[in-house]
Amino acid sequence: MSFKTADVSSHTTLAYRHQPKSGNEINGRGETEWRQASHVFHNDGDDVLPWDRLDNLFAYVNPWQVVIRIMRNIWYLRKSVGPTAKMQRAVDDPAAMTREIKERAKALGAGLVGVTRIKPEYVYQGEEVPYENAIAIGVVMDRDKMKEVPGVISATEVMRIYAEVGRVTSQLSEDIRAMGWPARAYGNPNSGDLLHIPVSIDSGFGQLGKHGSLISKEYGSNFRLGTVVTDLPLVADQPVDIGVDDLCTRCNVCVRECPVDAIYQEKQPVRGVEKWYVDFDKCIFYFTETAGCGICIEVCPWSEEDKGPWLSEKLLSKRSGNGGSAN
Amino acid sequence: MRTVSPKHPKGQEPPRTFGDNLRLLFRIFATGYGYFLYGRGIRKEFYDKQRLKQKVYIDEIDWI
Repeated sequence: MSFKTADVSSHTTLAYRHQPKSGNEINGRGETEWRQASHVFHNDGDDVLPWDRLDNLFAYVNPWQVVIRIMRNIWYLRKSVGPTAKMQRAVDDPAAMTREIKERAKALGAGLVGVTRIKPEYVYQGEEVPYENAIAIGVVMDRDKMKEVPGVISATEVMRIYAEVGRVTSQLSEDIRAMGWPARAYGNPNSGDLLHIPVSIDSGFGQLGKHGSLISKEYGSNFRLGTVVTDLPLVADQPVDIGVDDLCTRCNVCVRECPVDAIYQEKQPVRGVEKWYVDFDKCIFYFTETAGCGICIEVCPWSEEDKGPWLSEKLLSKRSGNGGSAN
Repeated sequence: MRTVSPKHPKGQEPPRTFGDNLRLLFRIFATGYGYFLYGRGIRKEFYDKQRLKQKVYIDEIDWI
């Protein structure tokens, strides 16, 4: 089945008479000097962003099933900050504490958990995240429901999982605070201060794909992210190479299937780093009209159930000259 | 939507009170009320124009 039809690519309902400053410009596409990211969409309520009106419309045209889950997410995230217990639990063995935190996160419902040190590139311009460590959380979506993209079923599943991310991260941050260590949860999709994808890449979840989303070996792009930041002493994980670039360079499924041709064939310079990038100005109208689209992550070969580990093994084996075909 | 106050220094955040939870619940229900009643006209116009393949110009809408 192809998602691309002449009907869609030639027509989107939403448009601006006077388009705001390009989202690509705000994102720093074409910039060769490093800088922190700027907010462009999914406002956290405090700032006025150039694309706010479209963001507001996005909230109104979402199906009611999605809105119910947005409310649930807001309710869960009430526990994202709170008082830290006065009695602090001593941490003599950060490795053992890291294992304990990961086990706790998985028991709460996380499919992926990793740790990294907070770096300036994770934080939006003008925001502060004054903590030592970031615990990246990935909650897995129902693959069968995501096959229905774009539509009510998949949009509802995405927001259900965002609410789950809110629940897991908030509860984990509360557990850490109960140990006497400061912690704060960042849910999604309006994370406010943090970019979840670079945190998760450095926490060893996987690599950035051509479709601009994170790809993990176990789940492809079939999960959603959240982060808990804390001063609790933990051992950081390392980024992993699962062969995503090897496939994305040759595979153009997402490029072909994107109804509005928003995905670039080549990596782009973005704030001083060459990376896969999705054209914001092309993507965002269709994204809004379809309550979140998701076609690119659905058609990605990595997202096929149980295919990721096999694909990664083949790609890495081929790279090291041991043969194997990933086709 | 930012759900927490950035006013308090790290580690010194006060506990949530019953009043805080009540205010949050009110905000959630107000959002829902706005979506179901106020948003109905917005969605009707949007879906009508989508069906007729007409443009909705975001900067000309006065309700957002």
